[in-house]
Amino acid sequence: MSVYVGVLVVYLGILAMIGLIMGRRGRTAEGFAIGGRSVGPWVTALSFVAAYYSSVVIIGGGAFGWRFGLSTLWVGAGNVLIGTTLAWIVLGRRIRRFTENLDAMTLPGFFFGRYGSPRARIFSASVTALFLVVYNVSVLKGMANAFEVLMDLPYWVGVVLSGVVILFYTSVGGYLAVVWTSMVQGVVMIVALTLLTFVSLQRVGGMSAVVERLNAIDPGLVHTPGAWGWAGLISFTLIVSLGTWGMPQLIVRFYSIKKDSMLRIGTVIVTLGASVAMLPYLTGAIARVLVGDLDSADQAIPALTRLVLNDWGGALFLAGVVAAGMSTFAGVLIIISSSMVRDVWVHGLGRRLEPATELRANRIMSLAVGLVSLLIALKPPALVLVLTAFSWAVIASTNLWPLLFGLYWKRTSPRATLASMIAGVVSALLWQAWPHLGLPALPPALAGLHGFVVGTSVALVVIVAGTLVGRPAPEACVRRAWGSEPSAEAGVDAAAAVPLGPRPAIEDLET
Amino acid sequence: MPLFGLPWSTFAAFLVLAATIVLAVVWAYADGRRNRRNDR
Repeated sequence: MSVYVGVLVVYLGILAMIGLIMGRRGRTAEGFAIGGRSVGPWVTALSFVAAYYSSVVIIGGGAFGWRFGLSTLWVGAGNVLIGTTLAWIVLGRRIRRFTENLDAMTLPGFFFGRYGSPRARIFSASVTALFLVVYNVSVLKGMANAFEVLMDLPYWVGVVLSGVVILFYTSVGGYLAVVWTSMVQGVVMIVALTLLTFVSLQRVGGMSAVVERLNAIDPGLVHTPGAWGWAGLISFTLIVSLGTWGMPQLIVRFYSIKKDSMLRIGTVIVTLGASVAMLPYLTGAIARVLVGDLDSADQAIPALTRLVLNDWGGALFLAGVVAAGMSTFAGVLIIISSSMVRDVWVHGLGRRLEPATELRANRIMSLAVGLVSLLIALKPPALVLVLTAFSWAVIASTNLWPLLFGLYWKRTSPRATLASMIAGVVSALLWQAWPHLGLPALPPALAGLHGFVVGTSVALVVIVAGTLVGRPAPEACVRRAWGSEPSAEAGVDAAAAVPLGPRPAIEDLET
Repeated sequence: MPLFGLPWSTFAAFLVLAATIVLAVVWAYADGRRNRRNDR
């Protein structure tokens, strides 16, 4: 126990120190939200991995591996190919250039600059903030459960301990503290997962022995799609892989990288780092062999850890799980606070803030949102737990296509964009709520579909059809985004700083 | 059966991972070359 406490105290102390050091560097709202676009490729790549894989993925991925066996390795492969490498190749450079051209610091800010639509900005910011708070509750819960199982600490102590440290370094150090701590957390997570995998494989007698023993339990644990079936395997892989393309806490990594040429080495680093995605699923399957029956599949990874690792290894693994949760929570916190302050407060409600006041507002907002998440996580209501299951689906249904089409299809219509966001959210929510609404039951083939598939499909149809029949994006917005005209949002900020200055033309571009 | 006694349907996940790493390296190399050519 003392080893666990010692490792955690040192680890949390290092994170708090990084927050203090970085607090001196992020002195503006842009510094707080995106680190002044000054982050190098290693930090960007490893912090992307850390923010992507939360404690939910490690514990939950292990649970899937335990239940469904080795076919779940496909989920990890999908995370690396679609969720990481293709995301960097397809989105990275254009997001970096467009957000600089548009002087956008947030994803809703990008929508405003690209489409000239204040409504799309407010809608995206509100939905994203609401569902990211819900998502954060599940992340905090995952961390507290890890403390509970591995250290026998009461659940509330886990929530408070991890929550307070994150709130401290995020509110003091802003985005730079988040990415630097995330980089440290990414390394800890990679080392911890690799250690657990190698030691467990050694304990079983190698990969061939794992396959042989799983085959003896149930051949479905070795074959693909096995017990899960194609529908479950494919839709889950898509949710946790393609879904990342619309998640602002990951997309923001592209805003903040120092130069777009750094995306090249960043893509290689992030691909190698993200390869650890295979390991929770693999170790979950190994737990089926070594640990056997469990009350709940979520206990697979903690139980395996206690069985195969000594105190030092266990403490390192706990630090890895906590690292995964903290980096995700902190990344989300920054996104919510900058979206609420800049997109809703400043631009949505038209409140003008001096730069120093905006920075202070960001700090206060991140503290407030973090505290709300922490309080909810202490005793999550049943509704919140239900919502966490599809917070990704709702956020991705809102942002995925408006972002992708905004980068590649000049014509994309602002009205179609807003309609696609609304249709995506409504259909994803309606689909998940269907069984509880007393409506006629869906055919079995459809009932298994996740809200993500439905929400993003409906959103895709609406944005394409709406663009084909509707008015295209304003020419001025397109030219600014593609870099042939000065920034729109720079104009807005300039107008905000000079109370009597002219409002930029883009304010009138809502169609 | 390929390596470790895994059926191809499952072993292919490792092949996809390896192919993804190769894709990242090749893309980074090709992108750098394209950039240098454009600069000249």
